[in-house]
Amino acid sequence: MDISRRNLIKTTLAASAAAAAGLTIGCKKKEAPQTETSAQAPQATTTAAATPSTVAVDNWVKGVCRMCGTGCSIYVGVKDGKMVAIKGNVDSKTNTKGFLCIKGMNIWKVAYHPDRLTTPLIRKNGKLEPATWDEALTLIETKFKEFHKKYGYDSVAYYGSGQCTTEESYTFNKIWKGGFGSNMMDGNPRLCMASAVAGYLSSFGSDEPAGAYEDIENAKCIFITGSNTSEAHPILFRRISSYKRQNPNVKIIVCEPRKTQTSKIADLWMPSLPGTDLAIFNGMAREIIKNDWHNKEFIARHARFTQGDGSQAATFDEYIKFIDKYTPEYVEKVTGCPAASVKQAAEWFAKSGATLSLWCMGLNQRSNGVWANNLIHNLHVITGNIGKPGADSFSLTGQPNACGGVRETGSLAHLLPGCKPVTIEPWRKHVESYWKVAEHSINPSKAINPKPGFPAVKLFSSLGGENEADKPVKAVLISTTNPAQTLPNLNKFVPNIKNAFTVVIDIFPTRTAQLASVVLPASFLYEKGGVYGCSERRSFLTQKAIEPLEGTRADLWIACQIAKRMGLEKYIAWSNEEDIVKMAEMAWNDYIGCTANTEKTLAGATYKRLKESTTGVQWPCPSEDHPGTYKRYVKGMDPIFDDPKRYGYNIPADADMFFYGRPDGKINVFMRDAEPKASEKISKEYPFLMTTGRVIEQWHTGTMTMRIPETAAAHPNSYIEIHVNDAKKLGLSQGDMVKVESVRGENILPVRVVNMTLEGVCFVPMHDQKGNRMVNFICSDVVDATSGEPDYKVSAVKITKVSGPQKVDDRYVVTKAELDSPTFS
Amino acid sequence: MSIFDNIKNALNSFPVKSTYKINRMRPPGSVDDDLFMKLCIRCARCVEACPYRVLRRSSATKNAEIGTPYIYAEVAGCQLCMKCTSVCPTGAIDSSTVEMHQVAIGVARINEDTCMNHLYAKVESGELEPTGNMALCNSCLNTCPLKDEAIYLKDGIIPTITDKCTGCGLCVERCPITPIKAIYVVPKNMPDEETAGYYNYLKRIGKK
Repeated sequence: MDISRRNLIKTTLAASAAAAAGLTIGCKKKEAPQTETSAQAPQATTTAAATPSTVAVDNWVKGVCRMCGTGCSIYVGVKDGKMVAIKGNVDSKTNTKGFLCIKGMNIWKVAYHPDRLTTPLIRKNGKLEPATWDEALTLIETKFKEFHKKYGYDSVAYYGSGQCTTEESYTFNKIWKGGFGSNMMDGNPRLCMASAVAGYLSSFGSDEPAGAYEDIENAKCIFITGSNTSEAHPILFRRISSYKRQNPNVKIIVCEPRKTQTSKIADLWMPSLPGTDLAIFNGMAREIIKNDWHNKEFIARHARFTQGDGSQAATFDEYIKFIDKYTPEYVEKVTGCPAASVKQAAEWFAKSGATLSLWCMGLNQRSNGVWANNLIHNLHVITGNIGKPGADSFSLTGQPNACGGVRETGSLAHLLPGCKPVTIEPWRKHVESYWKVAEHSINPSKAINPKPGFPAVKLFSSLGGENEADKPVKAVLISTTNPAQTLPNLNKFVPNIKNAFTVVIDIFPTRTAQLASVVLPASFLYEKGGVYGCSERRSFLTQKAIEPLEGTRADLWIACQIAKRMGLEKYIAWSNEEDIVKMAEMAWNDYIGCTANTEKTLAGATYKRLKESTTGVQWPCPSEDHPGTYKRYVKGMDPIFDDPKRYGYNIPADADMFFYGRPDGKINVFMRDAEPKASEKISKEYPFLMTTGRVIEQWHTGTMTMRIPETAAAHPNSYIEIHVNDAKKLGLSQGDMVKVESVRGENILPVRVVNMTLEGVCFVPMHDQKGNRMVNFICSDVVDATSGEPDYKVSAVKITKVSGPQKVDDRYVVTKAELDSPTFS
Repeated sequence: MSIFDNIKNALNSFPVKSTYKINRMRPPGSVDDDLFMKLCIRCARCVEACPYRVLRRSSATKNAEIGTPYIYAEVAGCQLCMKCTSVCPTGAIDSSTVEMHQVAIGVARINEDTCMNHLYAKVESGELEPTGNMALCNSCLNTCPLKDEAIYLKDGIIPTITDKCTGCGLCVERCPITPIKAIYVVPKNMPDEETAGYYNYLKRIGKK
């Protein structure tokens, strides 16, 4: 029965005669579109049978999943030197019982995709032409040296990723901050985690959560906000929902504009219009104090009330006065969340006994993201929900190594290893002397620049060609990320990336590679190995499973070659090493030495230990015999209490809980205003609020997951979810093509009519690479004033119908041929 | 009665004409198959009208069904846009079908032995030993045009199909289990797996 339309016409003639229909047939001769799908099919069937249970492997190599921030521990199945399967690690502490999701189970397949880049490419006359490694690296060396001389050391930038291994990020950080004396290096965690970092630093004085995933199974109430955990962290979500099923008395509160799958397990769903949820948090605090549910003892011992601008201390009474404005009725008016829900949530939050908050990009990617983070911490402080099992203020990370690789190694424009700001002089001096910057730096200042560099959005606004005098950054080295698709308001940044001298390190052709001057083919994670650190401070070693695809090189090797050519051969001691595994080990040892005397210490997590461990190690871990830390800030659990002097802290001997990140050991409770002043507002012309997010089958810009047949088929294109009432008003039905337009750019997307979002709120997944479906053309590039993180979650748009339904499930990916053209088709 | 009518009636009364098959559905709004076979004049207007190119036509090997429209769910499910219902000149596809809720061209069922979420839940409950082969996926749920109405996750994990299922087959298209999908649609009028004759699904996967 499956016949092409061309054949169909022939059979139709026979059919009509036979069936004596007596009507003429109006078939026009057209190309046979049905064969398109069958052309994609063979790939799916050839790889299909490779489920772990059916595949014979020579050996299983330990590793960690390449996708989200959960940090699932896996084994890579290798047969005849090739990856053939992935299975979960049943001993794992993160993905208990070895559970994985559909992405992780299939990720190995991308390593053998025909689109893999295998040779360096240099752009000549607009075309990316194959070159040798030596040619490409020589060009990079010449350009970098030229720009250093002509425009200063800050004219050459690095833009890294939460998917680089810790060793890679650390090496690039060391090269840039110490070797070049330039803080002009940032990473894509700026687009996802920066607000959480600033939130923890301002409230606790030390980055990253106090607790761990273990708290899920100890919590009595779980407050999930700004996170569609079911799609973005499926394995963690499953941990939560199976815990909830076994313990129905545990309360789950979900606060989100969309009634996602996450809210299906919730006892209470608190809707909030995008951008307004800070009022809910302040409203909950007011209810808690008004009803005398707050923990007075905890507040007296561990809270320091602080003015909203952070300038000076305040009193508890001032705080009460400040939040008095946020009555449940006021909150309802501002956010759309029923007043009764605010009261109920406040009661459960305060009285459960152990409340765990989980949040992700819904709070971080906001114009007031840091303040949103602070307000969650506030709730935990006033209710005393920190430092006991099941109680924590826990930020979920989006990327597998954003915590370990970028936050802890300080690979952002304002940080140094140990996640300490570059502005702190004693720490800067320590890093300078540990790295021997004075001896090795090629910068005449022979020191680390005390001034932070530009955060991502500012970095890319300042990036430009040599003829652009107002753009001080002339070159950028981009590793393992795709800013030409991930930055907000792309129309503004794409020309900058194109005009500058852009070097891209990636495994596949991407939108960024389309704009690049040089493209370097990278090895895949399991072809090189390295350490990843997940959301719960756990570092886990991925061992090299197979030899790299011919022609590709590990990012670490590339970093070392650049270091050598720039005259930093002795500075990066591992740059002369041949074996990539040894290279990584040396980089790791250098790193754990550098941060050994900080609370982020992984001194006990030697390579040997990481190789043997099936569970990874949670910092602080000061020595090899230390088991790793489940709870920070608590005496008896946190090793910092054993010898605070070593880490530069003063902890009173009688303190059983002490927040040593701040000098007085107390957590800041900020009087932060809830008004999203900088966020985009709806107007008559742009009446809808658009928010963006992930789906379970895809990851980031889809460069990998759109190339896995199973996941690409499951989510082949972006769409816009519109509330059924809005659709009625606009005269839209399922599948209609609409133009979604903001003041910055537009997309053409198919409509999905849903009833699970708030009216006036629409949602677009962020993974599609097709030019007119890349949602970041629409997104607002307003950034949080403190963290520099853009506001992807709130954009005002208008929606107009362009046509009826069209077939757009093309699983579009950028091909090698497209690399020659800078237009995004 | 003309000779053409005679041929038509003879063909339509042919005893083996209706070869129901798993994952092969008539267009949305189609009338009962007996009537459909009598009414359908194989004009292909519905096939032409389908903006997603989902509708196909039966080939000559399918006895009297030759030329009639089908959805072949493994390749592409129906997006329920209802563009085909209004073009049918004979009423084989009921033109009063304009809402996706009205559609009932089949019912999806899940193969509990291959669906990853089912296996996952079994490991979680201790029914199966953990082997590391369990992967979570919500593709059938996420792709369903009547998400949470026609399909929901029982206990937050087990995809469960309700009687609201339209039988559009999108879940079959998007199911990541290959080559034999873990979800399938039994078309309307096909009695059930047991009596589905030659095309019995269980036979196809070697269970019987």
